[in-house]
Amino acid sequence: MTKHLFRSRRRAGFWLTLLALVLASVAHGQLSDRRLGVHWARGVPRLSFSAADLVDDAGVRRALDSGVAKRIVLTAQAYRVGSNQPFASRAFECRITYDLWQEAYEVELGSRRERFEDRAAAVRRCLAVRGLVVGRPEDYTSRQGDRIYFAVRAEFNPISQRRCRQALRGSGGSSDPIGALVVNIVRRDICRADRSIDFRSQPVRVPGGDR
Amino acid sequence: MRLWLLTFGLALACPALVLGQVGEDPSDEAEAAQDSGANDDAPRGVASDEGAPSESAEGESATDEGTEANAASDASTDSPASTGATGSTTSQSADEGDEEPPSDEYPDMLPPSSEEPPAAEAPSLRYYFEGVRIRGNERTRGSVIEGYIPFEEGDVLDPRSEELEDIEWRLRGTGFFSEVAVSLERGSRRGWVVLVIAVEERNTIVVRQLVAGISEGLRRTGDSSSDAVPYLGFTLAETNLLGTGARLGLSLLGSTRAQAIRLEYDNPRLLPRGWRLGAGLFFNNGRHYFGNALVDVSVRCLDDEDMLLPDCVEERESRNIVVFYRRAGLSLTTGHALGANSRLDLGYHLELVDPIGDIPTASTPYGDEVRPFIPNIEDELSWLSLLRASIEYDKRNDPTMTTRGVLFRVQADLASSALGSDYDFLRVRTLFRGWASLPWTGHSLRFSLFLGSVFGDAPFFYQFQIADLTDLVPSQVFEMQLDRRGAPNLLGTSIREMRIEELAGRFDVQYELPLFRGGRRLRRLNAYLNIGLLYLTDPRALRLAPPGYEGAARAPIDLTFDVGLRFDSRVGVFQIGFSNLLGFLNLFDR
Repeated sequence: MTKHLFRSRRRAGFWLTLLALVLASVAHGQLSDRRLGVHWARGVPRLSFSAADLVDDAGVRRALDSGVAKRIVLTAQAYRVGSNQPFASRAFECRITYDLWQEAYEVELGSRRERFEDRAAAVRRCLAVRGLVVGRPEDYTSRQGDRIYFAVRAEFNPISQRRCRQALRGSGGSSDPIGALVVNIVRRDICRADRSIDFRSQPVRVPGGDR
Repeated sequence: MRLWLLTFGLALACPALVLGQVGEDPSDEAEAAQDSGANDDAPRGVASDEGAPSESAEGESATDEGTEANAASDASTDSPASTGATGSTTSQSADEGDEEPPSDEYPDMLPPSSEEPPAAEAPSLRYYFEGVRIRGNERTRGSVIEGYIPFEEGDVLDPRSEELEDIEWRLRGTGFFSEVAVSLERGSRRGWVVLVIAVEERNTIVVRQLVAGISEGLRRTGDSSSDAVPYLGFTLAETNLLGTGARLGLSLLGSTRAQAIRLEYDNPRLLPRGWRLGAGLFFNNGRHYFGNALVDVSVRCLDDEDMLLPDCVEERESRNIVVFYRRAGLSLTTGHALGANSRLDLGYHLELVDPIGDIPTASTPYGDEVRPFIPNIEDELSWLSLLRASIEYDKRNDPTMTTRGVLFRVQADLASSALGSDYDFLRVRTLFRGWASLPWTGHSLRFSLFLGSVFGDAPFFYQFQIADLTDLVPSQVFEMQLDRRGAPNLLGTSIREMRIEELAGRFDVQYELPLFRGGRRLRRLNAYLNIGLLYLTDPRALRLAPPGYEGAARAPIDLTFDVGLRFDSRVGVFQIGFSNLLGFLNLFDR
């Protein structure tokens, strides 16, 4: 009897642990909510929002003053509510470089180049987004009337996988296919952005349709 | 016996604990955007509606109304740029009848594979490079850090150049530092700058590999029963030896039946033009098991206290033939990157092979026949001298917790009497692995194909071993066989006759699914299931199958599988395979 009880408890414990792991993994997927301006024009949404809190970090601010160009990448993706497969996506990059001798911040957004006297203004130029078009009209035509939301990621100084691999290969020297433990621990640190924030919008309905 | 083995295995709780793979693939679902210049992970959507604002607050209010005011107040007040830079983005809800593509002022990310900076209208910022200032390096020599800086005094320096950014990534990639910050400071003259590298050093003595388990074996030829003994192996490395940037590794394997020690030195920057130089010493003291069924052997007689009796040989049945040997040698290696994803390695290897005691005279069953045992080793001290070359193409998104990409490696070993070797052979091994992400977040499939062949007279430890092909018995560690068992023979084929052969292959598919993501200590927990088909034979069996096998059973193939957990923790990535435990159940007794 005692043995049976012990066995049952152990089994229950196993399933509870498994359930906790699954729930924890789902919970981890949640993003914080942020209200985004969503304006529809020509069948596509235009997003307006601020991700300026990306630089609410002393290390990031120091990096912006380092004199070395720093990249900010913003990615916005559209999802149907209830799905986690994006159906439309948009990303752009902005670079901020502090000019050591002119004591000004140079901001590059595509081919545009602008100068700002203070850091906050330079950051706003990159991270206060107005009218960002996400996707093409055909991405939304089949979803008219559907409830969708937008997820946004802002990254400070991300590195691409290609460059990351390149950088590590040059310094590796080991033919071990698995790789050294320490290198891999470091790899975790270097293959991600210095800092990133994620948030999602309120649900919105795609214009048109009867639903 | 089985129960005892299982209990013992469980008690150790690490039948095949392999430390080795670390790394985080930041997010799998957006890897399609790989190499875009941003991290591979795009924002992650959440399927659940939980936590989202209520429907009443949803975007109908903003839809087609032009209401941007509620959100992004920073944006609407501070942004010096306005929307509709092209003039074609005025607010209108015309979904139809307008052929102009929508646009805004934000530049699309450059297409994948291109990472050129955007074309600039005005001349960009430029400085002159004055010198380097290094801070925080207490152990690491300044010259080691300077070796990663590609500039010389007077060079024009673009603060946006990838070269400048790469210095930081490369220094982090050495593993010597927990923090690296690259910045510029004003130089002594206007327009000149000093490159400042601030580092925080970290512990560089690391465990590179840890292997533990239980192996089944015999004490000597002539034993009719086997027993199990634990084994433990590890590799410790100082990756920044005396601050020189060189690596020194020490590997040890301990068991009552096998012992190994290896010392390896590797300096990635000792040779000019980016060629690395490595050197190694090793010593193995172990045994190899031959024969897949009861074998007839002639062995020296023993007295009651296991002492050899002179001039006495007896015929016995034994579970295996056991050959004891020692190997000691050295190797020299060099290598160079061939572009971003490939590398070439070359090496020379010299070793002394010393069989311990007499090599038993025996015969082993081979299908319906019996054939003499040929150990493929000189019965006295012999030399093995070989050249090695390997090429690797590696395009995995992460070398450890891989979810996308390919890995291809081909390696050839050539031993020849022209090099002073007592053995003449060529061994070629090829491995291809491909990973594909599945539509569900974090789920992936891996396809793997291994092919190998030996031509000529290779000693048994350079031939292909069943233990390395099946997951159901412990693999070799540091080229030492630990377990006496042969193939499980789940398909009932002539693989039963194969143990150490010259032709080998394996194809497997591995499915990996996430159980947990997040957390500081345990970052990710994955479960995996691997199913494979293996092939092991000798060239004679290719022409003429072992007698006694008919039809499909003549093909020397077998199934193998493994199921286990892989977890990415703060310490490293651990993989625990349960197949070895299954192996101890002897469910697939031969």
